[in-house]
Amino acid sequence: MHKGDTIPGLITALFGFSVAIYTLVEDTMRWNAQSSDGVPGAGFFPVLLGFVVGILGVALTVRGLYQKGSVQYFKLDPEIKKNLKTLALAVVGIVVFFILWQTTKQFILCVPILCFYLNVIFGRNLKYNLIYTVVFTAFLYLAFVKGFSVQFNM
Amino acid sequence: MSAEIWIGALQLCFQPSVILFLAIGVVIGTAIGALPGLSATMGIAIMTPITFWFDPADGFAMLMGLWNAAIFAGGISAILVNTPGTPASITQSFDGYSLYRQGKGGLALGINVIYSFIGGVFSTFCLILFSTPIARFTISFNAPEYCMLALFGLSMMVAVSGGNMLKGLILGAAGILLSCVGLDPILSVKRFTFGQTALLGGISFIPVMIGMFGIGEVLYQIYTHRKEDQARELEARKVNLSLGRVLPTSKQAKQLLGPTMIAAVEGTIIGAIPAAGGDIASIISWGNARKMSKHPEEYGKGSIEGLAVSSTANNAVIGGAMTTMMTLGIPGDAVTAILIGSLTMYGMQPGIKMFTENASFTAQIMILMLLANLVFLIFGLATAKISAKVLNVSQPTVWTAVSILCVVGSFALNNRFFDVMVMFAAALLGFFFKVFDFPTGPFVLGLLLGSMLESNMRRALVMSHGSWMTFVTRPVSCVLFIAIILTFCLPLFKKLWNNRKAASQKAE
Repeated sequence: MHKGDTIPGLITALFGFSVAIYTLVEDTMRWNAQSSDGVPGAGFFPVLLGFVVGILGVALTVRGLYQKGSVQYFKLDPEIKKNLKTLALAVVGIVVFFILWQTTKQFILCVPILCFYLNVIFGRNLKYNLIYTVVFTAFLYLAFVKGFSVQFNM
Repeated sequence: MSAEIWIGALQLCFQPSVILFLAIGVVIGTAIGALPGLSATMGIAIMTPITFWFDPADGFAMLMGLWNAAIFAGGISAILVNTPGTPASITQSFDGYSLYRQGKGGLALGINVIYSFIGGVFSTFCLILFSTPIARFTISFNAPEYCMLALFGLSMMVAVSGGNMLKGLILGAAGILLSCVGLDPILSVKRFTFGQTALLGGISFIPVMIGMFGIGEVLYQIYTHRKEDQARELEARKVNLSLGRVLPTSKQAKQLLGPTMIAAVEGTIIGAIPAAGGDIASIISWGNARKMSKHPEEYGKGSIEGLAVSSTANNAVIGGAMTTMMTLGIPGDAVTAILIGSLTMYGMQPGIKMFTENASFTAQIMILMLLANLVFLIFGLATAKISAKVLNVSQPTVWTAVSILCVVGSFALNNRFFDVMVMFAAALLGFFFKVFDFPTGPFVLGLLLGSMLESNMRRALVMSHGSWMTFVTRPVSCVLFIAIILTFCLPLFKKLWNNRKAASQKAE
């Protein structure tokens, strides 16, 4: 990401203008309320803020262009590249855990899998990982399922 | 508040369960504060959903204990490994670590505990003394004043976004925009619900906070993890110098009285300003104390005075922030923002109603603040020398636990998977905000204050038949309006002034 604030600015502008336009074309969210003159309606804030965010996003994009790559957010040195891989694996792992949890409806069986998986990608040894997973799952089961009666399997 | 209310609150606060939860909160807070990378905000965000399963007094006891202890414990890692445990303890590393290297680690840890306690108690007494008059003053507030108050809170948060005022503005506006999701507060029109009933009530604030300050922070730590930093920290831990005496002598205590009292006042005032947190308070107090000190040359090289001043200021912020939160409903920092969400979940609304309809609970919170300080003083002094052991917990151990607890906490709020999705989306958003150097504070405040801002602005316009002049013709509203303008303009004027000064110096 060598363009500094350019891409975040573009995304912000796109988001802001999209919200404003969506609100304007939506029939229920009007700029003015129908009850009395000049009083803002349900669409007043979303339109106003959508345009504000959009315009500020454009300003950020312009600032990013003026920076000419002097500001760099993703500095991809070898260590960061390795970290990015761990990060991606962690995010994917959590998403897969969500899918597993919702399809099987067995939270307390899915938690040790996530716990074990995260410890593996964070480079913990097997013995430590097994103890950690068992202890942490037991803690969650006793505190939340038995103690607070949280219905995880909904 | 009458004496009866105070006596009743005192009796409730001394119930064994309340004391137990307070002590648990202090222990958890000490561990969270001492571990670099875990902040008081993260701790409060993760623990808040859990406290909803307890009685409100027990739940708040735990949160108060955790918050006060986490801020004091941030100094432990600052002193022992030169890495602040929380942002508020940044200046404690300036003098604390030098003291440790000189073989006075025990004294540094002792000063951290004692002066954190003094700062906390002083600011809590300020909260007790000033909150009722401030709350009474807000009785005259109506929709225009509340609208301006919300805007003022937001403008302060944007103004302290450092060099990122533009990004602060963007996120502040985006936060308000997100608060528009759900039913419109005046006409009950559905907005951005996309046919989802889960969205009718809007985006829940607490899952967003859990995601942003929990998993979001973990993801950022994974991304920025540096082996050489870890090695440096391990090296620092190996030093393991003798800690020596913990308590300061009476002569030292006498010398520290003046500077620490000034720091307590400064910390309380800075804490009461929306958005100005413990880090700002400790930096300002440390700088001012150095200017006024008889030995400014010792600052940064192991000054006991410097450490005491920093410790006092960062804990004094808590009472100040609570004053603003409880009387005006404006969060002083991210922690008070979560506490507002927590009070709302209990069916309470910060502001004047806290002092009329929930006076007993308000008194309980204030007493709990005092008790939390007392408990961490005893706990901190008793465990000063063994507290270093907490630092042996490695980051990956914490990452796994935090990630799973965030999922559990966000689900446990309403037994709803939708909140987990909101939490995870906020986590990813929080990660990208940090990577691209967007300040998260304005976003959080925008989301929290958005509905207060919108409903009061529209209510004010309905009452004035669409006249925008209502915001400047009422005295309090007008003063707040001027304050908002100044908040945005002062940094610009300062920049212009500095540029002109630099140009004239160049010309000479």
